[in-house]
Amino acid sequence: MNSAARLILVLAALAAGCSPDLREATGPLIPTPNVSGHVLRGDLPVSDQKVKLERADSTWAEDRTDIGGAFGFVVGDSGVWTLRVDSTQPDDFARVSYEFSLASPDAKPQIPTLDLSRHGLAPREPSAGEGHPVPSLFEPLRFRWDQSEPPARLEVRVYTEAFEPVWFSTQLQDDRMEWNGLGNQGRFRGRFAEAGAYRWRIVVDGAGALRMTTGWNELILQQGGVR
Amino acid sequence: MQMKPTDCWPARDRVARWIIPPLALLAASSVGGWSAPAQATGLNSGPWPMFHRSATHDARTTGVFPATAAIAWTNATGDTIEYSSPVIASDGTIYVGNKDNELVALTPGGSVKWVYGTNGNIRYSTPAIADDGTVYVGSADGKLYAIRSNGTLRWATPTGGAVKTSPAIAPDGTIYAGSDDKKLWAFRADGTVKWSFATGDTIRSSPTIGADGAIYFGSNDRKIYAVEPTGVLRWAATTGGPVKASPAIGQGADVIVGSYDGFLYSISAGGTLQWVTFLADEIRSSAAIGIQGKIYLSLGTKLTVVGNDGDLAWDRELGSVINSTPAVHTRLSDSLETVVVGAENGRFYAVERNAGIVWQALLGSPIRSSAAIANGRVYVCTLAGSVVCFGAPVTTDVEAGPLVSAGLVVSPNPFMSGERVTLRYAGGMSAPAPDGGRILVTDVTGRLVRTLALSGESPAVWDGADAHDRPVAAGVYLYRWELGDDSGSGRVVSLR
Repeated sequence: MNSAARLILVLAALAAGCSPDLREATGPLIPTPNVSGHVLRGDLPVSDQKVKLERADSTWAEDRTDIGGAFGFVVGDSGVWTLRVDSTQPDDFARVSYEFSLASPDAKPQIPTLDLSRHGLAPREPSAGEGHPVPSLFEPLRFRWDQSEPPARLEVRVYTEAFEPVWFSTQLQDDRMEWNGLGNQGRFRGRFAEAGAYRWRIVVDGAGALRMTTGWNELILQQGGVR
Repeated sequence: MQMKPTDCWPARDRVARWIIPPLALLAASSVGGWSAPAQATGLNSGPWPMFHRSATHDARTTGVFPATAAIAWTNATGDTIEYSSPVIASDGTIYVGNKDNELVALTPGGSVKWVYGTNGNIRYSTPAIADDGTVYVGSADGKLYAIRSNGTLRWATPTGGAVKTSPAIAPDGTIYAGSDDKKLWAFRADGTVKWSFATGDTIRSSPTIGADGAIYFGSNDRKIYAVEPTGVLRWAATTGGPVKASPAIGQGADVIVGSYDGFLYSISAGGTLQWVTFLADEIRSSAAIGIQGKIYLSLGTKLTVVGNDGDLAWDRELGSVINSTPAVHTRLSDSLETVVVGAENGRFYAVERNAGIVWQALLGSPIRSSAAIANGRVYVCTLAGSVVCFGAPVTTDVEAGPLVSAGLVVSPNPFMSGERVTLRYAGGMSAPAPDGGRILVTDVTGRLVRTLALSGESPAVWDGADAHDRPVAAGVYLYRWELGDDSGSGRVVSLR
């Protein structure tokens, strides 16, 4: 490779925001991803799946998986990062994310497989499309779901219709959880839920900082509970 | 007559330390046994006869309170005392459970009176003393034990899981205790089961008894339960986390208890929510109830006080995680309340609202056991196994019964730099103690610090220095002694 061609490659790499490999005789001068992994659905690789790399809740870069479900990013900054995959497939989690930190720019973190499959985890109660009494200590609202296999560590999270957090359950490994209507998030902490429209979902914690989130479920609360 | 099991005991220093002599057994058999019907008796009239003092778990007392951290006596039992807390009978006997499966009885002066071994640890259960002197305690072997005041077994009734709660005694003599089998059990005074009440998970919350006889407790199924004395559910209140704290009855007969969801709940006896307040990420502490219904809690590294309306009254940062629950002393002349609590940094604190920490003592080992306040003294246990009595020094050790202990009496313990520690052989059970014994003092890694000569006639004196006459550093030291056929071990704590 002559020096002019090498210069063009370097400039192209720099323009793409990557750090080129300038070592002599070590192969093509293409930046090597230091953050890489795979997206699967069960045992099968998921191709052409968008993968986002986020920093401070905003997208920093995007990639699409190849035919083997692989993705990769070149990350030159240390700090806390999040990989995120979204799906609208019916048996998938709505989101799978993995938070990791880079201690140094040349670090290469171990990224677990991002598995979109819910493996049978599915919300069952409270049923959508009908009202439920405002919960209380003595008449709590029961959340139930079909168990995943193996049983996951998960949380139930309730939000307002405008996606404002109201109540996050403690982490549990069960197929049900009851809510007494008492909020524990933000301005709702210590306040009982009132009648109205809410949303809820299940957040599953996997290995390390791997987190899977189901899609939104509708929750309508009506007056009638005894407090 | 059943004796304490010996097959489960570790081989170390148990040989002749605490043996119940035949005379004591004879006496025991004459005052009650399997053949004699047990009488239903309520709670002992002692100053602190159960966990948090009373069946309502107020953990509060009045009368004399130590003005300083002066230590009257300590007894290094040598075995871990974790959440089991000392209780005081009307005859002054002190009882506490330890992680080495034992219920230990101490005389008012701090000498070991007897030890009863169960087949599981007594890490969580605080004993409860009945009016007839019977001591009830739960064990990880799954049984609730009833031990006579002379250290002999009255009965042991199995539940379906480890008993990690502190029993409560109702006025009619019924004993309540929760179990890891997810049930609250009601036992008659003769050890037969009256009823059991099933919950959805293990029970670590100790039952509280209301004025109307209702039993209140929490479960790891995240509920607070009110159960009638007949064993029928009165109400169940759902919280957002396991309820491991034990309820207390607050002002107006309301049930006060915190949950791992971080909320403190006040619920009426009839089952109406009075108030709820968010205090922390999780509430593990049982509440002590002060004058005017003030609620004292240990939360994280803070001693926290909540008014009877649920509003925060005041709190005090203690700089170390607090895993013990508070106990309160009220001075009746001016309603001044002093709270005592131990922390993971090994310090024991007496705290007042305006004065802050009025006294404190470094006991050299984490304190998870809750204190008892009685007759001008404060009793507390450390994780290293010391029972420490704060208050006026004891001049004579009033015996509440036959002294059946033997071993080495170490005083003072803990000791300050420059103090001389006396290690006196307390005498064997039969033959006169021979000479020619020795005491090996090591650090916790087993490194030999000092060798002392021991005889049965005169005490060994340790000047707190190592073999090169250098004062030892602050910390826990282990000793092992041998004298003739007798031997034992223990711990001594150096404070700088």
